[in-house]
Amino acid sequence: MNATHENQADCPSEELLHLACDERSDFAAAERDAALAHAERCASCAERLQEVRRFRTLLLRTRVPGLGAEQWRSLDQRIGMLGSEPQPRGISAAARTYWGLTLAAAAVALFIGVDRFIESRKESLPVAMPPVVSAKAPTVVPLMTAESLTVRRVEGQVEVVAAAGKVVGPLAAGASLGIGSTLRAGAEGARIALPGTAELELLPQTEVRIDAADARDFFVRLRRGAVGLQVDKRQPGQRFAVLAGSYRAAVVGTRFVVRLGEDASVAVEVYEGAVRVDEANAPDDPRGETTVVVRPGRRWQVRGGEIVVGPIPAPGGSAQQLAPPVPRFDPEIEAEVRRLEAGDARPSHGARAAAPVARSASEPTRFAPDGLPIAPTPPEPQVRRVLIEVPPQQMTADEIARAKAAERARQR
Amino acid sequence: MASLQVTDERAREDAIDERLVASFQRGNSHALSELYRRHGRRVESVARNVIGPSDELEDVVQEVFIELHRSLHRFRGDARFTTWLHRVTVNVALQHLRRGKRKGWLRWLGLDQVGNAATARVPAGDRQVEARETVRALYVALDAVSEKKRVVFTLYELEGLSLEDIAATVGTSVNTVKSRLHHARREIFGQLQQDGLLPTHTLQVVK
Repeated sequence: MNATHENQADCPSEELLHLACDERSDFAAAERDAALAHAERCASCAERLQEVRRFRTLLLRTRVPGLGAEQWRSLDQRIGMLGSEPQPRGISAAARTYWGLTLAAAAVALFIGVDRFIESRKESLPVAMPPVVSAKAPTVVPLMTAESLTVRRVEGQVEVVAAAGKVVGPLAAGASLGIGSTLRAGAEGARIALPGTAELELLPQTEVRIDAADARDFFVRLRRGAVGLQVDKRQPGQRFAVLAGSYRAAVVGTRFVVRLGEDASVAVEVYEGAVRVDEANAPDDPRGETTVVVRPGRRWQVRGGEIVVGPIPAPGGSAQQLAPPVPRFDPEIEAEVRRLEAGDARPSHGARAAAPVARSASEPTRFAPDGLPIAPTPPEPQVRRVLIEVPPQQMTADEIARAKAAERARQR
Repeated sequence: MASLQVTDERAREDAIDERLVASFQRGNSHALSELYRRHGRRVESVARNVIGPSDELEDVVQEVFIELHRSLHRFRGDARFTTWLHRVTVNVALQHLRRGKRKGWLRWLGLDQVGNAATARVPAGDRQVEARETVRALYVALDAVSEKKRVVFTLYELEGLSLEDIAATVGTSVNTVKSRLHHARREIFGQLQQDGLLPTHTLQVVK
């Protein structure tokens, strides 16, 4: 072989070298011979040709592993079963015509309906439309869902964080509470009036997430701090709830506060009516084994796996961080809170209140590790209920770890 | 003379396929079992060459025949049954590849393992290991080319189909097939060269 390099313009392209080495290509024999003859004279092309031949060798040696005998037997069986199944039938021409005409008629009817709807909307609109958004307009926070609850009034600073984590802005009257959004109360706390007579109070630095906010359910999840919920009247089927830790309290037509401590302790304080507290995994779970009814002036608390029910502690001392909220809308309720703080557990709203507690309000009721009360509990009063619950899939990893630790401690 | 015999044999096979398809379309589901008996190996070969080494080859073959069972009543005989079967097989194989790509991190893990194995030194003399690594090296390079080029390349170079059959299978012209084949060769050849994965010797093709 002559190793001298010829004029590079005469060198065959890489494609030609591949074609020359491909026995099945429709490359003309004369061209193939010319390319190979050139490679014999040109050292560079000889090297390139050798590389292409190595490539073809790799392709010739490539054997992708196929199915084994056992797999073929399994496949034979499966396809055999398929062969004995009835065939799916195609749509006949008559059926195609029928359904085609039906769909066309439906499309026309839909078009006419939409057109008429748009026309009727146009007629109902005022002639002069005010601007929907203006630079000086008060901040109204549109949140996520169409089926959301609208806020009647807001007192105090509440920051709204959308489900995606973006801070939307301050909450204002007229805003909708979107599912998954978080409300953060400022240093002064806040009170939010919901449709009807329901009111949600957030103590300073409290953070809650809206888990449900529609005409039927209002569930908030307490993430930090303390939240008060007052529901004087509710429509049949309506449920109001605060979720805290892995516990559920159920109250309707009452006023209560749920607190979530830094140590994952949960406390439910009842100021009016009665609250049912139990463990639950879903809103519609049957009543849990550790059901407790908390009466006015009493506090149910779980801390370190131990459940204690006792009087609501007076502000100050170790209970300072769990001080009850001060209502700002209802002087009557405010007076009652003051009275309860002074140690009088009797409810002032006789018509709405539950039966008096059988034991002394100052005597804490202790519960066995299995959650059942050691002392007999009073008969269940005729109370309206609200659910408070925490779906486990919505708990953070930290919360799950704390709940498990509490469960282990309780089992011990 | 030999060519005429091949053509006759091919026409006879096509006629049998047509009769089986017609039987299936008349409601005889067992004709599908016979079609599987006749073409199961071919389907398996096309599928494995397109998707490469996979534990799911058996499922892919089964999926092809499920698709056949579902859509054979729509086959009008405009093309040869085998061409139509190749098309169905390639489509199912490509769906399998796309599903693999959608698996995201799983896919990345798999590629990473294949890539490492392909670039690893293979002990000389161990032919089985060497052959396995050859396959892996090729399919790592194939994963980098487009689906269209991959199909043409594997059907021509590995499955041994003619340019005309490939054109009929993928529904394009012979010239387009040639173009895709050329680009696929260039990309795969370049990739293997760059990684130093071409064999150090050549095989002599005996005619």
